[in-house]
Amino acid sequence: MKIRLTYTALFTALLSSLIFLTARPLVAAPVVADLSEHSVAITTDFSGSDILLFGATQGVEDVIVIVQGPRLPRTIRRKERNVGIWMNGESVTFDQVPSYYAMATTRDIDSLLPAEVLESYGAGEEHLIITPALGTDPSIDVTAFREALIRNQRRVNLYSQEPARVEILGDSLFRVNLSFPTNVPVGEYSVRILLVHDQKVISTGSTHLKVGKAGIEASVYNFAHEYSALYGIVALIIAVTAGWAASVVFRKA
Amino acid sequence: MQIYLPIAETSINIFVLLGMGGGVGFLSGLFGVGGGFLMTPLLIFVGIPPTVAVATEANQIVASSVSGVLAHWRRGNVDFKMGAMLLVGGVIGSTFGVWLFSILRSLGQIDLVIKLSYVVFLGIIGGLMFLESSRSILRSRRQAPPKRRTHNWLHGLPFKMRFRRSRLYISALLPLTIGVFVGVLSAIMGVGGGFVMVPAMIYLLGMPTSVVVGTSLFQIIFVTANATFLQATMNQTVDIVLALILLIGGVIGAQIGARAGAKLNGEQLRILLAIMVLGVCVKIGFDLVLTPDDLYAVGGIGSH
Repeated sequence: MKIRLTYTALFTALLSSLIFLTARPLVAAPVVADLSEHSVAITTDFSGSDILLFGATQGVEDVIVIVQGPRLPRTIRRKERNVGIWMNGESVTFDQVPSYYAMATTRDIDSLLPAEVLESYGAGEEHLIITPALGTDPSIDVTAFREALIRNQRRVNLYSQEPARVEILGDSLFRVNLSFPTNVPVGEYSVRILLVHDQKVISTGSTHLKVGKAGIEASVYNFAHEYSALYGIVALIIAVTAGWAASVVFRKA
Repeated sequence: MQIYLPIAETSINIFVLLGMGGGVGFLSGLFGVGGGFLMTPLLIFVGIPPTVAVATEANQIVASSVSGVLAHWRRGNVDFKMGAMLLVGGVIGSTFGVWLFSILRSLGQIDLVIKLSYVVFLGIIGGLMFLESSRSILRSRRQAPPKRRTHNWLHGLPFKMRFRRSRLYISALLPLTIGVFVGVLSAIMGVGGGFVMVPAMIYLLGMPTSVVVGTSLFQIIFVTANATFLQATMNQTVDIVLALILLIGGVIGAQIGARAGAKLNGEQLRILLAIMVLGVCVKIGFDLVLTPDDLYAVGGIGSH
Protein backbone atom coordinates (compact mmCIF):
# COMPACT_ATOMS: atom_id res chain seq x y z
CA MET A 1 0.00 0.00 0.00
CA LYS A 2 2.88 2.34 0.82
CA ILE A 3 4.44 1.80 -2.61
CA ARG A 4 1.18 2.53 -4.36
CA LEU A 5 0.74 5.65 -2.25
CA THR A 6 4.18 6.96 -3.16
CA TYR A 7 3.61 6.40 -6.86
CA THR A 8 0.23 8.09 -6.75
CA ALA A 9 1.68 10.98 -4.81
CA LEU A 10 4.61 11.41 -7.14
CA PHE A 11 2.46 11.22 -10.20
CA THR A 12 0.02 13.73 -8.78
CA ALA A 13 2.85 15.94 -7.70
CA LEU A 14 4.19 16.06 -11.23
CA LEU A 15 0.75 16.55 -12.69
CA SER A 16 -0.22 19.28 -10.29
CA SER A 17 3.05 21.15 -10.71
CA LEU A 18 2.37 21.03 -14.41
CA ILE A 19 -1.08 22.51 -13.89
CA PHE A 20 0.39 25.02 -11.48
CA LEU A 21 2.96 26.18 -14.01
CA THR A 22 0.73 26.31 -17.06
CA ALA A 23 -2.61 27.51 -15.75
CA ARG A 24 -2.18 30.31 -13.20
CA PRO A 25 -5.88 30.65 -12.18
CA LEU A 26 -6.36 27.57 -10.02
CA VAL A 27 -8.51 24.81 -11.43
CA ALA A 28 -10.72 23.01 -8.98
CA ALA A 29 -9.63 19.41 -9.27
CA PRO A 30 -10.49 16.72 -6.73
CA VAL A 31 -7.99 16.43 -3.89
CA VAL A 32 -5.57 13.57 -4.28
CA ALA A 33 -4.47 12.33 -0.87
CA ASP A 34 -4.10 9.09 1.02
CA LEU A 35 -3.33 7.76 4.48
CA SER A 36 -0.32 5.57 5.25
CA GLU A 37 -2.82 3.17 6.88
CA HIS A 38 -6.60 2.95 6.85
CA SER A 39 -7.00 1.31 10.21
CA VAL A 40 -5.83 1.74 13.78
CA ALA A 41 -5.62 -1.64 15.50
CA ILE A 42 -5.92 -1.50 19.27
CA THR A 43 -3.91 -4.36 20.71
CA THR A 44 -2.66 -5.14 24.23
CA ASP A 45 0.40 -2.92 23.95
CA PHE A 46 -1.48 -0.07 22.22
CA SER A 47 -0.04 3.25 23.31
CA GLY A 48 -1.49 5.57 20.71
CA SER A 49 -0.93 5.56 16.96
CA ASP A 50 0.51 7.83 14.28
CA ILE A 51 -0.82 7.86 10.73
CA LEU A 52 0.61 9.86 7.88
CA LEU A 53 -1.64 11.78 5.51
CA PHE A 54 0.00 12.67 2.22
CA GLY A 55 -1.35 14.54 -0.79
CA ALA A 56 -1.02 17.03 -3.62
CA THR A 57 -1.54 20.73 -2.93
CA GLN A 58 -2.60 21.65 -6.48
CA GLY A 59 -0.50 24.74 -6.02
CA VAL A 60 -2.34 26.22 -3.04
CA GLU A 61 -0.44 27.46 -0.01
CA ASP A 62 -2.80 26.34 2.71
CA VAL A 63 -4.33 23.03 3.70
CA ILE A 64 -6.84 22.19 6.42
CA VAL A 65 -7.21 18.59 7.61
CA ILE A 66 -10.15 17.62 9.86
CA VAL A 67 -10.41 14.21 11.52
CA GLN A 68 -13.72 13.27 13.16
CA GLY A 69 -14.67 10.21 15.16
CA PRO A 70 -18.11 8.58 15.44
CA ARG A 71 -20.87 10.84 16.80
CA LEU A 72 -22.45 9.93 20.14
CA PRO A 73 -24.78 11.65 22.63
CA ARG A 74 -23.06 13.25 25.65
CA THR A 75 -24.50 14.65 28.88
CA ILE A 76 -22.86 17.58 30.65
CA ARG A 77 -23.73 18.32 34.28
CA ARG A 78 -23.04 21.47 36.21
CA LYS A 79 -22.31 21.33 39.93
CA GLU A 80 -24.08 23.75 42.23
CA ARG A 81 -23.44 24.56 45.86
CA ASN A 82 -26.20 23.72 48.32
CA VAL A 83 -25.69 24.05 52.08
CA GLY A 84 -21.92 24.04 51.51
CA ILE A 85 -21.96 20.85 49.44
CA TRP A 86 -21.36 20.60 45.69
CA MET A 87 -24.07 18.57 43.97
CA ASN A 88 -25.21 18.00 40.41
CA GLY A 89 -27.58 20.69 39.22
CA GLU A 90 -28.61 21.49 35.66
CA SER A 91 -27.60 19.15 32.87
CA VAL A 92 -27.71 19.33 29.09
CA THR A 93 -27.57 16.36 26.73
CA PHE A 94 -26.12 16.99 23.29
CA ASP A 95 -26.99 14.68 20.40
CA GLN A 96 -24.37 13.59 17.91
CA VAL A 97 -21.24 14.91 19.58
CA PRO A 98 -18.06 13.91 17.68
CA SER A 99 -16.28 11.52 20.04
CA TYR A 100 -13.00 12.62 18.47
CA TYR A 101 -12.09 15.83 16.67
CA ALA A 102 -8.70 16.97 15.45
CA MET A 103 -7.94 19.79 13.06
CA ALA A 104 -4.51 20.41 11.59
CA THR A 105 -3.71 23.39 9.39
CA THR A 106 -0.77 25.10 7.75
CA ARG A 107 -1.40 28.41 9.52
CA ASP A 108 -3.66 30.05 12.06
CA ILE A 109 -7.18 29.15 11.02
CA ASP A 110 -8.71 32.63 11.39
CA SER A 111 -6.33 34.11 8.82
CA LEU A 112 -7.18 31.37 6.31
CA LEU A 113 -10.91 31.67 5.84
CA PRO A 114 -13.78 33.96 6.88
CA ALA A 115 -15.79 32.78 9.90
CA GLU A 116 -18.92 31.90 7.93
CA VAL A 117 -16.92 29.67 5.57
CA LEU A 118 -15.25 27.93 8.52
CA GLU A 119 -18.68 27.40 9.99
CA SER A 120 -20.09 25.86 6.82
CA TYR A 121 -17.25 23.31 6.82
CA GLY A 122 -17.37 22.67 10.58
CA ALA A 123 -13.71 23.72 10.72
CA GLY A 124 -12.61 24.46 14.26
CA GLU A 125 -14.12 23.38 17.59
CA GLU A 126 -16.13 26.57 17.91
CA HIS A 127 -17.76 25.86 14.54
CA LEU A 128 -18.73 22.30 15.28
CA ILE A 129 -22.40 21.57 14.95
CA ILE A 130 -23.34 20.33 18.41
CA THR A 131 -27.01 20.73 19.26
CA PRO A 132 -28.87 20.01 22.50
CA ALA A 133 -31.30 17.10 22.48
CA LEU A 134 -35.00 17.72 21.94
CA GLY A 135 -36.79 18.73 25.11
CA THR A 136 -33.87 20.67 26.62
CA ASP A 137 -35.13 23.41 28.94
CA PRO A 138 -34.96 26.61 26.79
CA SER A 139 -34.12 28.74 29.84
CA ILE A 140 -30.71 26.99 30.25
CA ASP A 141 -27.66 28.82 28.87
CA VAL A 142 -26.56 26.09 26.46
CA THR A 143 -23.41 27.97 25.34
CA ALA A 144 -21.67 27.48 28.69
CA PHE A 145 -22.43 23.74 28.56
CA ARG A 146 -21.15 23.54 24.98
CA GLU A 147 -17.91 25.25 25.94
CA ALA A 148 -17.56 22.93 28.94
CA LEU A 149 -18.02 19.90 26.68
CA ILE A 150 -15.22 21.07 24.36
CA ARG A 151 -12.99 21.94 27.34
CA ASN A 152 -13.52 18.48 28.86
CA GLN A 153 -12.82 16.72 25.55
CA ARG A 154 -9.62 18.77 25.11
CA ARG A 155 -8.47 17.83 28.61
CA VAL A 156 -8.63 14.11 27.77
CA ASN A 157 -6.88 14.71 24.39
CA LEU A 158 -9.94 13.81 22.33
CA TYR A 159 -10.25 17.29 20.81
CA SER A 160 -7.34 19.23 19.38
CA GLN A 161 -6.59 21.89 16.84
CA GLU A 162 -3.09 22.80 15.87
CA PRO A 163 -1.87 25.34 13.32
CA ALA A 164 1.41 24.61 11.54
CA ARG A 165 0.91 20.86 11.77
CA VAL A 166 0.47 20.47 8.02
CA GLU A 167 3.79 20.73 6.17
CA ILE A 168 4.06 21.83 2.58
CA LEU A 169 6.85 20.04 0.72
CA GLY A 170 8.24 21.92 -2.23
CA ASP A 171 5.29 23.58 -3.87
CA SER A 172 3.16 20.63 -4.73
CA LEU A 173 2.87 18.22 -1.81
CA PHE A 174 1.52 18.38 1.71
CA ARG A 175 2.05 16.03 4.60
CA VAL A 176 0.62 15.75 8.13
CA ASN A 177 1.17 13.28 10.91
CA LEU A 178 -2.13 12.39 12.63
CA SER A 179 -1.61 11.21 16.23
CA PHE A 180 -4.31 9.21 17.98
CA PRO A 181 -4.18 9.01 21.81
CA THR A 182 -4.53 5.80 23.86
CA ASN A 183 -8.14 6.58 24.78
CA VAL A 184 -9.19 6.95 21.12
CA PRO A 185 -12.83 5.85 20.71
CA VAL A 186 -13.46 2.92 18.38
CA GLY A 187 -15.48 3.31 15.18
CA GLU A 188 -15.41 4.84 11.70
CA TYR A 189 -13.44 8.06 11.29
CA SER A 190 -13.66 10.59 8.49
CA VAL A 191 -10.65 12.60 7.31
CA ARG A 192 -11.55 15.72 5.32
CA ILE A 193 -9.02 17.78 3.40
CA LEU A 194 -9.66 21.39 2.34
CA LEU A 195 -7.31 23.15 -0.04
CA VAL A 196 -7.43 26.89 0.63
CA HIS A 197 -6.32 29.77 -1.53
CA ASP A 198 -7.05 33.46 -1.22
CA GLN A 199 -9.72 33.12 1.51
CA LYS A 200 -11.56 30.48 -0.54
CA VAL A 201 -11.83 26.73 -0.44
CA ILE A 202 -10.55 25.59 -3.85
CA SER A 203 -11.09 21.89 -3.50
CA THR A 204 -12.18 19.32 -0.94
CA GLY A 205 -11.54 15.66 -0.53
CA SER A 206 -12.10 12.98 2.04
CA THR A 207 -10.94 9.60 3.08
CA HIS A 208 -11.74 7.40 6.04
CA LEU A 209 -10.15 5.13 8.58
CA LYS A 210 -11.35 2.60 11.08
CA VAL A 211 -10.31 2.42 14.71
CA GLY A 212 -10.95 -1.02 16.16
CA LYS A 213 -9.81 -3.49 18.76
CA ALA A 214 -7.75 -6.37 17.43
CA GLY A 215 -6.49 -9.70 18.72
CA ILE A 216 -7.11 -10.54 22.39
CA GLU A 217 -8.61 -7.10 23.04
CA ALA A 218 -11.32 -7.69 20.43
CA SER A 219 -12.01 -11.25 21.63
CA VAL A 220 -12.44 -10.20 25.27
CA TYR A 221 -14.68 -7.28 24.32
CA ASN A 222 -16.89 -9.42 22.06
CA PHE A 223 -17.08 -12.21 24.65
CA ALA A 224 -18.18 -9.70 27.33
CA HIS A 225 -20.91 -8.30 25.11
CA GLU A 226 -22.18 -11.41 23.32
CA TYR A 227 -22.02 -14.04 26.07
CA SER A 228 -22.22 -11.82 29.13
CA ALA A 229 -23.51 -14.48 31.58
CA LEU A 230 -20.74 -16.89 30.59
CA TYR A 231 -18.25 -14.03 30.80
CA GLY A 232 -19.40 -13.30 34.36
CA ILE A 233 -18.99 -16.94 35.34
CA VAL A 234 -15.51 -17.11 33.76
CA ALA A 235 -14.54 -13.92 35.63
CA LEU A 236 -15.62 -15.58 38.90
CA ILE A 237 -13.83 -18.87 38.13
CA ILE A 238 -10.62 -16.94 37.43
CA ALA A 239 -10.99 -14.99 40.67
CA VAL A 240 -11.67 -18.06 42.84
CA THR A 241 -8.87 -20.06 41.20
CA ALA A 242 -6.39 -17.24 41.63
CA GLY A 243 -7.34 -16.82 45.29
CA TRP A 244 -7.02 -20.54 45.94
CA ALA A 245 -3.75 -20.83 44.00
CA ALA A 246 -2.20 -17.98 45.95
CA SER A 247 -3.10 -19.51 49.30
CA VAL A 248 -1.69 -22.94 48.25
CA VAL A 249 1.54 -21.36 47.00
CA PHE A 250 1.92 -19.37 50.19
CA ARG A 251 1.20 -22.30 52.49
CA LYS A 252 4.07 -24.26 50.91
CA ALA A 253 6.42 -21.30 51.00
CA MET B 1 4.94 -0.77 30.53
CA GLN B 2 1.54 0.28 29.25
CA ILE B 3 -1.30 -2.21 28.83
CA TYR B 4 -4.57 -1.57 26.99
CA LEU B 5 -7.66 -2.66 28.94
CA PRO B 6 -10.40 -3.97 26.60
CA ILE B 7 -13.49 -2.95 28.63
CA ALA B 8 -12.13 0.17 30.33
CA GLU B 9 -10.87 1.20 26.84
CA THR B 10 -7.72 2.94 28.02
CA SER B 11 -4.02 2.22 28.56
CA ILE B 12 -2.52 2.15 32.06
CA ASN B 13 0.93 1.28 33.37
CA ILE B 14 0.82 -2.37 34.46
CA PHE B 15 3.12 -1.79 37.47
CA VAL B 16 0.85 0.92 38.84
CA LEU B 17 -2.04 -1.56 38.71
CA LEU B 18 0.00 -4.38 40.29
CA GLY B 19 1.07 -2.05 43.09
CA MET B 20 -2.47 -0.91 43.76
CA GLY B 21 -3.70 -4.53 43.83
CA GLY B 22 -0.92 -5.53 46.21
CA GLY B 23 -1.45 -2.61 48.58
CA VAL B 24 -5.20 -3.02 48.83
CA GLY B 25 -4.84 -6.83 49.05
CA PHE B 26 -2.48 -6.43 52.01
CA LEU B 27 -5.04 -4.29 53.89
CA SER B 28 -7.75 -6.78 52.98
CA GLY B 29 -5.86 -9.68 54.53
CA LEU B 30 -4.86 -7.58 57.54
CA PHE B 31 -8.25 -6.18 58.50
CA GLY B 32 -10.76 -8.49 56.85
CA VAL B 33 -12.20 -5.63 54.83
CA GLY B 34 -12.71 -6.20 51.10
CA GLY B 35 -10.85 -3.01 50.32
CA GLY B 36 -13.46 -1.76 47.86
CA PHE B 37 -13.80 1.57 49.62
CA LEU B 38 -10.10 2.19 48.84
CA MET B 39 -9.78 0.51 45.45
CA THR B 40 -12.76 2.14 43.72
CA PRO B 41 -11.57 5.73 44.30
CA LEU B 42 -8.00 4.70 43.37
CA LEU B 43 -9.08 3.15 40.06
CA ILE B 44 -11.11 6.22 39.15
CA PHE B 45 -8.13 8.37 40.09
CA VAL B 46 -5.85 6.58 37.58
CA GLY B 47 -8.41 7.04 34.81
CA ILE B 48 -10.68 3.97 34.79
CA PRO B 49 -14.33 4.90 34.06
CA PRO B 50 -16.33 4.75 37.37
CA THR B 51 -18.78 2.07 36.17
CA VAL B 52 -15.91 -0.22 35.12
CA ALA B 53 -14.02 0.53 38.34
CA VAL B 54 -16.96 -0.51 40.58
CA ALA B 55 -17.70 -3.72 38.66
CA THR B 56 -14.12 -4.87 38.16
CA GLU B 57 -13.15 -4.17 41.74
CA ALA B 58 -15.99 -6.47 42.89
CA ASN B 59 -14.43 -9.27 40.82
CA GLN B 60 -10.99 -8.60 42.26
CA ILE B 61 -12.33 -8.65 45.83
CA VAL B 62 -13.74 -12.16 45.19
CA ALA B 63 -10.18 -13.36 44.57
CA SER B 64 -8.51 -11.61 47.49
CA SER B 65 -11.32 -12.73 49.83
CA VAL B 66 -11.00 -16.40 48.76
CA SER B 67 -7.27 -16.20 49.37
CA GLY B 68 -7.80 -14.47 52.73
CA VAL B 69 -10.52 -16.89 53.89
CA LEU B 70 -8.35 -19.94 53.14
CA ALA B 71 -5.50 -18.45 55.18
CA HIS B 72 -7.83 -17.75 58.13
CA TRP B 73 -9.64 -21.06 57.80
CA ARG B 74 -6.42 -23.01 58.26
CA ARG B 75 -6.01 -21.27 61.59
CA GLY B 76 -9.61 -22.12 62.48
CA ASN B 77 -10.65 -18.47 62.38
CA VAL B 78 -13.80 -18.72 60.26
CA ASP B 79 -17.24 -19.15 61.86
CA PHE B 80 -19.12 -20.66 58.90
CA LYS B 81 -22.43 -20.82 60.78
CA MET B 82 -22.26 -17.13 61.61
CA GLY B 83 -21.10 -16.37 58.07
CA ALA B 84 -24.09 -18.22 56.60
CA MET B 85 -26.52 -16.24 58.80
CA LEU B 86 -24.93 -12.94 57.75
CA LEU B 87 -25.03 -14.05 54.13
CA VAL B 88 -28.78 -14.84 54.17
CA GLY B 89 -29.38 -11.33 55.50
CA GLY B 90 -26.91 -9.91 52.97
CA VAL B 91 -28.77 -11.41 50.00
CA ILE B 92 -32.09 -9.95 51.20
CA GLY B 93 -30.48 -6.58 51.91
CA SER B 94 -28.58 -6.25 48.64
CA THR B 95 -31.67 -7.12 46.58
CA PHE B 96 -33.51 -4.32 48.35
CA GLY B 97 -30.44 -2.08 47.93
CA VAL B 98 -30.30 -2.58 44.14
CA TRP B 99 -33.95 -1.53 43.97
CA LEU B 100 -33.24 1.54 46.11
CA PHE B 101 -30.21 2.37 43.92
CA SER B 102 -32.32 2.53 40.76
CA ILE B 103 -34.86 4.83 42.45
CA LEU B 104 -32.10 7.19 43.63
CA ARG B 105 -30.56 7.19 40.16
CA SER B 106 -33.85 8.17 38.55
CA LEU B 107 -33.94 11.11 40.98
CA GLY B 108 -30.56 12.18 39.52
CA GLN B 109 -28.57 12.40 42.75
CA ILE B 110 -27.04 8.94 43.11
CA ASP B 111 -23.42 10.14 43.21
CA LEU B 112 -24.23 12.61 45.98
CA VAL B 113 -25.96 9.87 47.99
CA ILE B 114 -22.97 7.56 47.46
CA LYS B 115 -20.50 10.20 48.64
CA LEU B 116 -22.64 11.23 51.60
CA SER B 117 -23.07 7.62 52.73
CA TYR B 118 -19.29 7.15 52.50
CA VAL B 119 -18.71 10.22 54.66
CA VAL B 120 -21.42 9.36 57.19
CA PHE B 121 -20.65 5.65 57.61
CA LEU B 122 -16.89 5.89 57.39
CA GLY B 123 -17.00 8.82 59.84
CA ILE B 124 -19.21 7.10 62.42
CA ILE B 125 -17.44 3.74 62.24
CA GLY B 126 -13.93 5.13 62.06
CA GLY B 127 -14.61 7.53 64.93
CA LEU B 128 -16.18 4.90 67.19
CA MET B 129 -13.47 2.35 66.51
CA PHE B 130 -10.75 4.89 67.10
CA LEU B 131 -12.20 5.97 70.46
CA GLU B 132 -12.91 2.45 71.63
CA SER B 133 -9.59 0.91 70.65
CA SER B 134 -7.48 3.78 71.99
CA ARG B 135 -9.42 3.54 75.27
CA SER B 136 -8.83 -0.21 75.53
CA ILE B 137 -5.12 0.22 74.73
CA LEU B 138 -4.89 2.73 77.58
CA ARG B 139 -6.80 0.38 79.85
CA SER B 140 -4.53 -2.59 79.13
CA ARG B 141 -1.50 -0.39 79.86
CA ARG B 142 -2.95 0.30 83.32
CA GLN B 143 -3.37 -3.47 83.77
CA ALA B 144 -7.04 -3.07 84.64
CA PRO B 145 -9.20 -6.21 84.18
CA PRO B 146 -11.26 -6.11 80.95
CA LYS B 147 -14.94 -5.29 81.32
CA ARG B 148 -17.12 -8.41 81.35
CA ARG B 149 -19.78 -8.74 78.71
CA THR B 150 -23.11 -7.87 80.27
CA HIS B 151 -26.51 -9.28 79.40
CA ASN B 152 -29.02 -6.86 77.90
CA TRP B 153 -32.28 -6.98 75.93
CA LEU B 154 -30.45 -8.30 72.85
CA HIS B 155 -29.94 -11.58 74.70
CA GLY B 156 -33.68 -11.91 75.31
CA LEU B 157 -34.49 -12.23 71.57
CA PRO B 158 -35.96 -15.55 70.32
CA PHE B 159 -34.42 -18.14 67.89
CA LYS B 160 -31.28 -18.57 69.95
CA MET B 161 -28.44 -20.32 68.23
CA ARG B 162 -25.07 -21.56 69.39
CA PHE B 163 -22.05 -20.24 67.45
CA ARG B 164 -19.26 -22.44 68.73
CA ARG B 165 -16.34 -20.78 66.96
CA SER B 166 -17.42 -17.35 68.16
CA ARG B 167 -18.21 -18.73 71.64
CA LEU B 168 -21.63 -17.06 71.49
CA TYR B 169 -25.18 -18.15 72.26
CA ILE B 170 -27.33 -15.44 70.67
CA SER B 171 -30.48 -14.99 68.63
CA ALA B 172 -30.13 -15.76 64.87
CA LEU B 173 -32.05 -12.52 64.26
CA LEU B 174 -28.98 -10.46 65.22
CA PRO B 175 -26.61 -11.61 62.43
CA LEU B 176 -29.55 -11.68 59.99
CA THR B 177 -30.38 -8.02 60.69
CA ILE B 178 -26.75 -6.96 60.42
CA GLY B 179 -26.51 -8.87 57.14
CA VAL B 180 -29.58 -7.09 55.72
CA PHE B 181 -28.28 -3.66 56.73
CA VAL B 182 -24.80 -4.27 55.30
CA GLY B 183 -26.36 -5.71 52.13
CA VAL B 184 -28.31 -2.48 51.53
CA LEU B 185 -25.19 -0.38 52.07
CA SER B 186 -23.01 -2.52 49.83
CA ALA B 187 -25.48 -2.24 46.95
CA ILE B 188 -25.67 1.56 47.28
CA MET B 189 -21.99 2.19 47.97
CA GLY B 190 -20.61 -0.43 45.58
CA VAL B 191 -18.42 -2.16 48.17
CA GLY B 192 -18.28 -5.55 49.88
CA GLY B 193 -19.27 -3.96 53.17
CA GLY B 194 -16.46 -5.33 55.34
CA PHE B 195 -15.73 -1.97 56.93
CA VAL B 196 -19.30 -1.93 58.30
CA MET B 197 -19.48 -5.67 58.94
CA VAL B 198 -16.26 -5.96 60.96
CA PRO B 199 -17.14 -3.34 63.61
CA ALA B 200 -20.75 -4.59 63.75
CA MET B 201 -19.54 -8.11 64.51
CA ILE B 202 -17.16 -6.86 67.19
CA TYR B 203 -19.38 -4.33 68.93
CA LEU B 204 -22.94 -5.54 68.28
CA LEU B 205 -22.44 -9.31 68.31
CA GLY B 206 -19.46 -9.37 70.65
CA MET B 207 -17.48 -11.80 68.48
CA PRO B 208 -13.76 -12.30 69.22
CA THR B 209 -11.64 -10.16 66.84
CA SER B 210 -9.66 -13.20 65.63
CA VAL B 211 -12.80 -14.88 64.20
CA VAL B 212 -14.34 -11.66 62.87
CA VAL B 213 -11.82 -11.15 60.06
CA GLY B 214 -12.12 -14.62 58.50
CA THR B 215 -15.90 -14.72 58.88
CA SER B 216 -16.32 -11.30 57.31
CA LEU B 217 -14.17 -12.31 54.32
CA PHE B 218 -16.22 -15.51 53.94
CA GLN B 219 -19.41 -13.49 53.62
CA ILE B 220 -17.79 -10.91 51.30
CA ILE B 221 -16.89 -13.64 48.75
CA PHE B 222 -20.57 -14.29 48.06
CA VAL B 223 -21.75 -10.68 48.11
CA THR B 224 -19.06 -9.57 45.63
CA ALA B 225 -19.49 -12.69 43.46
CA ASN B 226 -23.16 -11.79 43.11
CA ALA B 227 -22.25 -8.17 42.27
CA THR B 228 -19.68 -9.29 39.66
CA PHE B 229 -22.18 -11.54 37.93
CA LEU B 230 -24.94 -8.90 37.89
CA GLN B 231 -22.58 -6.22 36.56
CA ALA B 232 -21.24 -8.56 33.85
CA THR B 233 -24.71 -9.54 32.63
CA MET B 234 -26.50 -6.20 33.01
CA ASN B 235 -23.83 -3.60 32.18
CA GLN B 236 -20.87 -5.50 30.62
CA THR B 237 -18.56 -3.41 32.81
CA VAL B 238 -16.34 -6.15 34.29
CA ASP B 239 -12.85 -5.82 32.77
CA ILE B 240 -11.33 -9.29 33.04
CA VAL B 241 -7.84 -8.07 32.06
CA LEU B 242 -7.88 -5.31 34.67
CA ALA B 243 -9.27 -7.72 37.28
CA LEU B 244 -6.56 -10.27 36.50
CA ILE B 245 -3.76 -7.73 36.98
CA LEU B 246 -5.32 -6.39 40.18
CA LEU B 247 -5.86 -9.86 41.62
CA ILE B 248 -2.30 -11.01 40.91
CA GLY B 249 -1.18 -8.16 43.17
CA GLY B 250 -4.22 -8.61 45.42
CA VAL B 251 -3.95 -12.30 46.29
CA ILE B 252 -0.28 -12.00 47.15
CA GLY B 253 -0.94 -8.89 49.22
CA ALA B 254 -3.80 -10.61 51.08
CA GLN B 255 -1.54 -13.51 52.11
CA ILE B 256 1.13 -11.18 53.48
CA GLY B 257 -1.58 -9.12 55.17
CA ALA B 258 -3.11 -12.15 56.93
CA ARG B 259 0.36 -13.09 58.27
CA ALA B 260 1.06 -9.55 59.45
CA GLY B 261 -2.37 -9.49 61.10
CA ALA B 262 -1.55 -12.58 63.15
CA LYS B 263 1.41 -10.72 64.69
CA LEU B 264 -0.60 -7.66 65.75
CA ASN B 265 -3.10 -7.68 68.60
CA GLY B 266 -6.79 -6.84 68.23
CA GLU B 267 -6.56 -3.28 69.55
CA GLN B 268 -3.65 -2.36 67.31
CA LEU B 269 -5.50 -3.78 64.28
CA ARG B 270 -8.62 -1.83 65.11
CA ILE B 271 -6.88 1.49 65.70
CA LEU B 272 -5.03 1.15 62.35
CA LEU B 273 -8.25 0.32 60.51
CA ALA B 274 -9.95 3.26 62.25
CA ILE B 275 -7.25 5.70 61.09
CA MET B 276 -7.51 4.44 57.52
CA VAL B 277 -11.32 4.64 57.48
CA LEU B 278 -11.22 8.18 58.88
CA GLY B 279 -8.64 9.18 56.27
CA VAL B 280 -10.87 8.12 53.37
CA CYS B 281 -13.85 9.80 55.09
CA VAL B 282 -12.02 13.13 55.34
CA LYS B 283 -10.83 12.91 51.72
CA ILE B 284 -14.34 12.32 50.34
CA GLY B 285 -15.75 14.96 52.68
CA PHE B 286 -13.29 17.57 51.37
CA ASP B 287 -14.21 16.69 47.77
CA LEU B 288 -17.84 17.47 48.55
CA VAL B 289 -17.08 20.85 50.11
CA LEU B 290 -14.13 22.21 48.10
CA THR B 291 -14.91 24.06 44.88
CA PRO B 292 -14.12 21.73 41.95
CA ASP B 293 -11.63 22.86 39.25
CA ASP B 294 -14.30 22.61 36.61
CA LEU B 295 -17.95 22.96 37.62
CA TYR B 296 -18.98 21.05 34.51
CA ALA B 297 -18.40 17.36 33.98
CA VAL B 298 -19.18 14.91 31.18
CA GLY B 299 -21.47 12.02 32.13
CA GLY B 300 -21.08 11.17 35.77
CA ILE B 301 -23.89 8.77 36.74
CA GLY B 302 -22.81 6.49 39.54
CA SER B 303 -19.33 7.97 39.87
CA HIS B 304 -17.82 8.27 43.32
